[in-house]
Amino acid sequence: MTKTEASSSSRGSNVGNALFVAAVGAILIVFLTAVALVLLSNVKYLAEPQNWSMLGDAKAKSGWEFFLEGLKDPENHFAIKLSVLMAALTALLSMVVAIPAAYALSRFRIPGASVIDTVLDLPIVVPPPVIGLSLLIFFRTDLGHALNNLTPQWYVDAMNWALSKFLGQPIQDDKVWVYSTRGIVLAQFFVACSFGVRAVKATFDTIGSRYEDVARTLGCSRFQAFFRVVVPMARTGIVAGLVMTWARAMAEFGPVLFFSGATPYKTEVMPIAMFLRYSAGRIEPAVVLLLIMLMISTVTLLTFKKLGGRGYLW
Amino acid sequence: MMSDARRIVIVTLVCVLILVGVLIFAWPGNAGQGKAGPQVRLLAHAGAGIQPPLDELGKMFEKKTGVRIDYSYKGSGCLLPDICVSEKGDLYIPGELFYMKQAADRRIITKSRPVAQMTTVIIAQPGNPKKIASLSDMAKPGMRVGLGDAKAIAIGRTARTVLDKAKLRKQVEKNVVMSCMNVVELGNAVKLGHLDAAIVWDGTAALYKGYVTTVAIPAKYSQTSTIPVGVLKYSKHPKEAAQFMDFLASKEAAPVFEKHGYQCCLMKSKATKG
Repeated sequence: MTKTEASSSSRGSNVGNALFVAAVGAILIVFLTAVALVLLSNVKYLAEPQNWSMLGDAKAKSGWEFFLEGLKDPENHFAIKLSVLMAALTALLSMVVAIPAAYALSRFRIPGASVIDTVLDLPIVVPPPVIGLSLLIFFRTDLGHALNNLTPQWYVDAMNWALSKFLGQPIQDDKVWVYSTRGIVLAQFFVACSFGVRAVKATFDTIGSRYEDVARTLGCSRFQAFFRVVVPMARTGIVAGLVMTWARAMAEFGPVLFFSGATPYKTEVMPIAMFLRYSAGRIEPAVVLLLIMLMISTVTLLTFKKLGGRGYLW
Repeated sequence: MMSDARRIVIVTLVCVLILVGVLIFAWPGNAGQGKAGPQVRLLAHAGAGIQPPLDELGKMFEKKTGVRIDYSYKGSGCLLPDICVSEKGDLYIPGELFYMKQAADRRIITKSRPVAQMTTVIIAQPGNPKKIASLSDMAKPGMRVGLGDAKAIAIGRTARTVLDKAKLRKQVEKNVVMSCMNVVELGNAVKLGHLDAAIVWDGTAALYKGYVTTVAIPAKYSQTSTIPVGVLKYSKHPKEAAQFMDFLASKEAAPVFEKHGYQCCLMKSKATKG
């Protein structure tokens, strides 16, 4: 009696296991298909034959022509260059802040740590335009004005010079950060940095403090232990953080729209360029930009998966 | 372990260097512009739907005077809050007079004048599969209709005036499945096939020439509106800003507006204070 019960229950659990595996697998496949379908529908939209051209005198273009045109469009070149550069600066700046901040969070017993944690996570959870509007309002305050005035002129000049050279468009911002090209980094930074801190802190947490302690008993200073032991050990996490912040910064739209504005050939990063096309009723050029962003994201992910390898993020 | 780390660093550095090199040197572009010293640049807060004529006119103006216009484009309803919060910018070019009045009420405009006119039209899907020929067709049961938000955007209020005049407002409002904050979204939704019909400006319909069907609204119901330009009190170059305002209202600019589906109002246009 007990034997048959046991065997039947184990048979039952075998069927259950199979069902479980099938269900989990099926959901994964359905989700993957859905994502692929949604993304690929853009290609289908561009490829649709436009046989309603007889309605007006506008010459109907094929999707391929739109695509080639988008690749050649100097405004798109500007947007791509600006996006890549600004996101790179944001990622570097974020890591400069995130590595020490994450280390402090991971190693020190700080009073009110949960409060700090919450504040750090806010930019991740909050709708991104909130950051943009907050920045816009911050720069109205006395502190904001002071920050504008404290910005050294040589820095402003150097940024203008480098940006003009790099972008092939005259950039002549003054000390004011609002609506400036260099201000894009600020708008992206406040969102991206939190992602960076999270990614790096997770790595420091997994490494633990024992290795540093050993290094210090062997004669390293705290500083040396940090740079010679912790940072090299955490490199995968740091690379992962760099990619996270770079990708996040590339994707940033709301904060840039509010804080830097949507100005063609000035603050036109790729998501802004897409918004500008779309809000002038130019849907196909917007879709072309979307496809370019999709390709850049895919290449980035693949490259860093190869480089950063077996990190916890992927 | 260590050589592994070094390899990653080196590969990353080389990749970054190659990328930067390619971007700077091999990219087709026009580097080396603007070496002729600092240029006067005006920041114009402008409605996103008027991009095509404004972009063109901005370039014409820069060629003529050397003053560059940087547009900050957004839905017209978002421009005023932007200006009030940032207290920056030289010009204000919303898509409709309604927004200019709001700005005048807040006393942030020193001068303004109308530059172009628009009229309400119906747009329908390419080929007009639902056979929309009049306002009453929009009231037929089952139609998917889009109107602008009744409070926040000009076309929303104006379209309702049109429908009130035609005594169709209640019936058409029953069919409204989408309401938006920017008139161009209505055009996009019709073009993408998500709406059967919408009431927009003729200047908006012109953005989709050949891609949507435009149906005129009889003159007794139709409404006309104006695109105004104003000089902001925050302007650091009020002289140049006024110059650009006058340029937009000039004979030179008229054909550009007309090309993009607007009517010009040369006769009425005169700068007014405040």
